[in-house]
Amino acid sequence: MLDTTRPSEDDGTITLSGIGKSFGSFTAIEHIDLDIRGNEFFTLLGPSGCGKTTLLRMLAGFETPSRGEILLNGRDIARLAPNQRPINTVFQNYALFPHLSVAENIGFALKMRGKPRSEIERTVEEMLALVQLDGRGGQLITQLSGGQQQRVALARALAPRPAVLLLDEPLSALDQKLRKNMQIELKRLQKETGITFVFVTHDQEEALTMSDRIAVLSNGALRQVGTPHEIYNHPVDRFVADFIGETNLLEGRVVHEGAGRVEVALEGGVTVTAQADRPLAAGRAVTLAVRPENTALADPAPGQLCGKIDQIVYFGTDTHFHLTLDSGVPLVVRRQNRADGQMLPPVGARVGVTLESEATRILKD
Amino acid sequence: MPDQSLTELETALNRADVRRRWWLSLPALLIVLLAGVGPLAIVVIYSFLAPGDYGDVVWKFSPEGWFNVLFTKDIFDGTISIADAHLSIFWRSFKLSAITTILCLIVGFPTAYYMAGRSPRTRALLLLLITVPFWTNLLIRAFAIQQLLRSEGVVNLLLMKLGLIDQPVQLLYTDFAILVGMTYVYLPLMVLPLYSTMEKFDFRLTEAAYDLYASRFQVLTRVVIPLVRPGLIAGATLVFIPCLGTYVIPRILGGGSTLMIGNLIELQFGQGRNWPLGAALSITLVVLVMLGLLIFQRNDRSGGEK
Repeated sequence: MLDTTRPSEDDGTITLSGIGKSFGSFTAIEHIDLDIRGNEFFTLLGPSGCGKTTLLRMLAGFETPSRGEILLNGRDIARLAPNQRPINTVFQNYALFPHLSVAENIGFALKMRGKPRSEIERTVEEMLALVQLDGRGGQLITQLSGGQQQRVALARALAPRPAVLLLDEPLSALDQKLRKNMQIELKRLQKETGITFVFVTHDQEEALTMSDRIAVLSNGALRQVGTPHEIYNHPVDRFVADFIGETNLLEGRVVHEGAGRVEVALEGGVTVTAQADRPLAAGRAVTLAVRPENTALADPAPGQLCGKIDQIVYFGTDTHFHLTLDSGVPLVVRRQNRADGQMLPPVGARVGVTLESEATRILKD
Repeated sequence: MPDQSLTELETALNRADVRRRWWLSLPALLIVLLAGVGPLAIVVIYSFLAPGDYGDVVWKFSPEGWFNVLFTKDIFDGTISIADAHLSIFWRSFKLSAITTILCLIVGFPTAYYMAGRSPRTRALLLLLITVPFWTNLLIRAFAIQQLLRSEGVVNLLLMKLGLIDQPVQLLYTDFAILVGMTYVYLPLMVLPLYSTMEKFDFRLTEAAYDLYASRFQVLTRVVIPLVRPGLIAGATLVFIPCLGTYVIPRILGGGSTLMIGNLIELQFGQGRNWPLGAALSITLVVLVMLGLLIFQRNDRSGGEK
């Protein structure tokens, strides 16, 4: 089996300090400080063009940072060539060698390192078992399905037992069902091998289900680093709140502050209670974020948020109501469906909305 | 998988359908017969006839022509000896063609690799530039190289200016001149097939190999070369085979002294007045070329299976 008893100082810890990357006059990455812990499943999440792929390519060695250093287990590797760092990549399109068999693909790195044939064969067998492709070593890459190719790409990158495994949107080419299976599979592989996984994706659901920690990037800068729970429930700013899951954003002014609870007067005069993680002066303009699942429909009443239903979207497990509030602001309410066909208000109906005050947060501006 | 067998069945049916309509290929067959097989048959027949006194042939069966390919009979005492002049010309043709193929490979491979890595626009432009030499007649290009290489030519003048040599070096009318000429003329035939396979080459594979601890040299030998092998074989074939039969370049750049098979054949139909020998030499060349093609193709196939 794989050697999981690596000494602790050699466990694939990455420290990025002051990393920046410019291509000519274009700055892909401004300035990033980031710690990736050993043996964790770390995800770089962001929309396309946010710099996550550039960051990954710098970790792999395909790009050299313009500024800053990359420490792997305390050693600066920023200027080492890709074949000199104990870091391997699972490429987005897999980049498997079409002229080699499955086994030859998996054994490629070991062969390049001049390992004896017996050791290569043993490792290839182990890897095939690990990714559940036993007995397929002799097959050609072209004879495999997309999901199987994905597994070969994983096995090929894991075979040399890297300190860190980089994964560049490896699931994007798979269909929905296969993707779900591979998510579980990847998580299992990471636990079993104890290797640090750095996973790049633009799919927030993928990031939330698999990661130990997530870094959210946009425009070449880090927005927030935290556990999936922190990122989802305590987004620091408008971008993170908006990018991760669906969020309703409401503008308002602080009325007065309590212990972590703040009364906010929304546009249109309704006052709601929200959570703040810092003291706020009365009269200050703030943005509130509340998830659709933390809102509920109610009968319209004075002093309460009210609006008109524009659209109702049925999702099987739940139903989304798209409203326009009296103040003109759009808002989505999510309601879980129940088996008994409960009466739902029709499109065009005027309804009231309540916000769970525990889940309504004031964003950092 | 059921899907696969179904498509296989479909292809088989399509093939049978095509075979039933073979007569549609009649025009092509006719051209091949008239322009290919016919003339070749005439050459074969001529090789078994006796030479006429002033060229042409006498319609009388004679194995003389084939005999003379490999042997010579002394005019005075009638002793038979191996025609080592012919053998050395065959050997030189093979040697020069092989060296030309290697030179074209050395120059053409990086060229094609560079081209394939450019943007589509630049690629189209470079492709056009590669074909520019084809716009000029071969004869004119051969004479141009002659001008460059002669004793008072640009190359010698440059070398003297640089102080590398004191007096002009004999470049023209040597094997070197022939090699320069053939490499220049046949280079596009190496670059084009190489480029067309490299264009389809997924350059991300080189990154993958580099990531998996391959050195730069290993990336080339383990990934790039095996995958562009069909282009390599096609390019080598397209250069080697016309080189073997080339006639104009050794004539102009090799002078009269360094003959290749093409010149030897021409000699028999001209000054030599021995058409049957010329015909036999031609057929020998055709057979050698076909053998060469078979070897190349076998290599290609074994490469494809891997």
